[in-house]
Amino acid sequence: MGRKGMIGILVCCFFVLISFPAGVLAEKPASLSIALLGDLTGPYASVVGPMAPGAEDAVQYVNEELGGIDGVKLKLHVRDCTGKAALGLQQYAELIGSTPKPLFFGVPHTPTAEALREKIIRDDVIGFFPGSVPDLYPQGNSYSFYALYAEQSAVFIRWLRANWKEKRNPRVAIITWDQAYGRAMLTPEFFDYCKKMKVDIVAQELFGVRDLDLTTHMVRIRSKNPDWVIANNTGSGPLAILRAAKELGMKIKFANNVGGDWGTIRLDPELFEDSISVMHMASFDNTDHPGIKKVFSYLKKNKRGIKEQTAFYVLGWQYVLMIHKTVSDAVAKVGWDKLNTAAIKSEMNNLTNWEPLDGVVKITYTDKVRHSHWLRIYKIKGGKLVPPGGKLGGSEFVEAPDLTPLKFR
Amino acid sequence: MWRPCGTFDDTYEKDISIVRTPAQWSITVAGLAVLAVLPLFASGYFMTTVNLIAISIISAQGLGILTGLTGQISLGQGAFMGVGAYTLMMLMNYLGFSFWLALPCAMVSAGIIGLIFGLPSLRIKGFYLAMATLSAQFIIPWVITNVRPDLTGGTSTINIQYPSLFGLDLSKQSSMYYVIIFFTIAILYLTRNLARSKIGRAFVAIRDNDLAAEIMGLEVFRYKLLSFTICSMYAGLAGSLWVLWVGAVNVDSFTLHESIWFLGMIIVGGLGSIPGVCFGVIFIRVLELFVQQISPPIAALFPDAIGAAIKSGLSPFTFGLVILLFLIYEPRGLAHRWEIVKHFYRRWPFSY
Amino acid sequence: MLTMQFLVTGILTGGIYALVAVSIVLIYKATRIFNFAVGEMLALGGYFCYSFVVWGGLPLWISLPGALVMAVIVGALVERLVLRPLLSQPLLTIIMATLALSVLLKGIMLMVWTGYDVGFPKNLLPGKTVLVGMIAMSHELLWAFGITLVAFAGLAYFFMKTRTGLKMRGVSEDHELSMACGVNIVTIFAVTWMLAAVMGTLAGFLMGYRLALAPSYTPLLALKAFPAVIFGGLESIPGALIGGLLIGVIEGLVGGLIDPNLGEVSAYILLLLVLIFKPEGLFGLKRIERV
Repeated sequence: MGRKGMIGILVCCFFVLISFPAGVLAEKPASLSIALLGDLTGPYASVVGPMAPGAEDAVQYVNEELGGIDGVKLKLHVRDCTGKAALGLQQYAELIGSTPKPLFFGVPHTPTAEALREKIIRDDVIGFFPGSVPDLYPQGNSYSFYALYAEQSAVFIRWLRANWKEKRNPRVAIITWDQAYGRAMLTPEFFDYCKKMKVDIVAQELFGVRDLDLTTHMVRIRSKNPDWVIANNTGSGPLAILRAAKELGMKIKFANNVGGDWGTIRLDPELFEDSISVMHMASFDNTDHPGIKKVFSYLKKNKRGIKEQTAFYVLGWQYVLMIHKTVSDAVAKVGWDKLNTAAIKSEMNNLTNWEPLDGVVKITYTDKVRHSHWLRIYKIKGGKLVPPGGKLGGSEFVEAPDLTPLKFR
Repeated sequence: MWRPCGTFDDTYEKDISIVRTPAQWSITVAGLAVLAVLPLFASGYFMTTVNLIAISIISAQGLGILTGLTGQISLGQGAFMGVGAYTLMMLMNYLGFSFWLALPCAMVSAGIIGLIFGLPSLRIKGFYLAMATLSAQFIIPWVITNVRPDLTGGTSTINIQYPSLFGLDLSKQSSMYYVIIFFTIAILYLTRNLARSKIGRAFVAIRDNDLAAEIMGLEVFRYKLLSFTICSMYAGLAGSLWVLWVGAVNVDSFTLHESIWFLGMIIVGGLGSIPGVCFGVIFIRVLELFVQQISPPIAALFPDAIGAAIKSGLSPFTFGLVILLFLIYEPRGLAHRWEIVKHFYRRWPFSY
Repeated sequence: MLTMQFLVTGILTGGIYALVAVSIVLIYKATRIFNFAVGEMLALGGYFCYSFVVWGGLPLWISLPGALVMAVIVGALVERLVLRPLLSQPLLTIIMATLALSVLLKGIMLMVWTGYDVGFPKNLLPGKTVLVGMIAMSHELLWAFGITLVAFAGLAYFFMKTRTGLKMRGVSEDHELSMACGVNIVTIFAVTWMLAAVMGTLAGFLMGYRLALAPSYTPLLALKAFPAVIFGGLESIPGALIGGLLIGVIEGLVGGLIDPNLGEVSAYILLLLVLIFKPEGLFGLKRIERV
């Protein structure tokens, strides 16, 4: 190749690179862009990964069965930040610069979500983030997938107290991952709540993702003699905890938050027998549920594997259905030409006891509270998630105690 | 210093100048002009990437001095960036320093920490030294998350107030670009001069043969520590600019993975070459984005199951493969290839 | 009593670290290359074993040797396709190549086994927790420790008694001299990589069986082995065993008695001290260049 050819190519490359045009929302757009930007193949993959197929299937459902939003089809952009906030930030910049810019960003990766919190306010879009306080408060443009992690644990604490028969206080030990997600449950409000419910937190241990043996931690917990161990963990974490407990011959019961979903339990169902999981959704094992049936029909239709059948798959659905609902309502009120983030936000803040798909999930957001309080508590029996029974242990959604930090209420 | 034939230095000023020929001058001026007007045309995405590349170049130049010039391997560059970033954040958020005042402090603190982790170089070199710096990559994040989580935020993210400069709000990628690119050019200029100064020559002497260097009267240990300090001060500057770039600081950004890849960037670029380091950074950062872009369309060509597999695995696969092939076919790095291209143009059409 | 428990657990866990450490040491000793892909290679080995057990439905006594055979193939391929074209290139370039290899292998794992966690079926290794007084010893860790000891005994036999082993020792002493003596050092490099892959596979299987396998965190086990390698000395195989056990014990004792959070970082702090005061490691050769 000659010198001129090379220079020509370089010049072309330069112009292609710098010419990413910006644009505005048309009157009735051809399609509505939404984004999903998360850790799909990195450290959180086994939990978060299924959210992408879930959102894809839900977009298919909305576009084909519900006819889009007032005839406008949804268009989903998925980006995988592989667990790196820096890459997530670049991908966010890419998506926000595309035309039309996505109005919603689902970000199932805590560090990226925390870095994006301020940016989505400035860029006037809406974020759908994990349930840790720094992601959501002070109230901005971000909404949580589910209740705060501390509230999920609190639902368990309340259930434990309600069904406690002995005179002494129940003794609970905490063991969780030493990173943003694992630590998200350790808020001062949670400890205050335990004190209020007269549940004693007797031990608190942190462990690393690559610790393959937790005997040391569990021996330390054993010396405090707790009745229950609670965690905010997923995947190999709960497995390591329970295995160490079993080896030490500890008669201890285990409770987990949304991380204790099907993906985790399938690793070793026997080990999880009689554990408690607090979830934000109806159980996949309740196959008579009409909403779960719908979800299953799509799992089957798109040939998803058993590994996609997890809580985050349903979160993908929840995300897309929430967009369908709020944007439809906003359009009905103000019309396409005046549709903006403020209008959608006001619809979001008015979601009250909204139950898509006949109650697979239940959502309430308000102007003040940007995470939904509705949770369900499950016990694991034979690898299935079933209601645990007892007081507050039915098969209905229960409202979690409000553990929003005081300064944000 | 090499130059095309027919160019003679008839004054000392010409002999020590960096930009020599009229052609170099025009390229430099044109390059600076393009850099100056870039934000007016480019999209936010492009600017975000340019900023990340510029920040990485600063950090990689530091490592280039340590590894390329002085011959000491460091696996702690990411952690030293973290030191700079957290120093900056804490000075700004708790002591009310302005960004501009906190920036040199962050550089100094990173420099001191780097000096401490460079101390083992008194007795060891090669891979044992790499492991000593690797320990920085574990000890520093541990200190950040566990010692004073009330100040550092533990594992969660802490935001900073975006600074402003002469009334220009630096919260936008296109405006913070000017700050970042200013520091990058300054660092390049500084590194260029450092490399050909007494200090730089001492570094090279130590790299080539430390015994000989000592016999010639160099205080080897002092220069090694100096190299470590300069390297981590660069990292501190890069870390501070990183905080500006993200608008927040999180310990997750300064992982071992980052540190190892900084080493990777300078090796791909070509050890001991300043443009090489820049090429290496650009190559790896762009490749990182590129492989993320190509996998969904390629996956769409395949049926369900294979497509899903390709979607998840193709990006790292391609990334690894491209670098591997590159190393096999160009083991001396991009800088070497750049020399070849330059020679090709100088001699064109008389190639050989 | 508790201290004893921490000590015992530490030693048993240290066995797995030792396997990873020896995988690094073998390669370093023969070729002066620090293999950054060791984590991914061990995870790959674990996945091979998983596939034989779960997809193939084979019993462990076929699956594990099967996985080891696969590991040998992988080791040979890596040497042939990656390392051999780079022979006589600068050392840092080759180290960089192992880094690129680690990303490549991760991609392969994501494609074949997806990013989701997978677990081995239970009761592959028979037995149950052994209780000595109050000290619990999990049968999995006991098995792991046993496998480690057998592997090290095998290595010792290999290096002491077999011709190839002797050649390998010669090559690690001096490349040129060995070549002059008629040793085909390229073959020796290939054998080294195969052996390292086998050791890694054992560790990967034990790690996977103990916890679960995922392309994201299984390779991180290698980070535990880095200080072990330096403690023992980069060139010493018995050093790798003792270094591994030592790291396990430090983690167990510091973690148990002071704060579990300190476990891992304490190993690195100690590593730094060792490097300053006894730079050749506890068992390394004195001939490493010192300043």
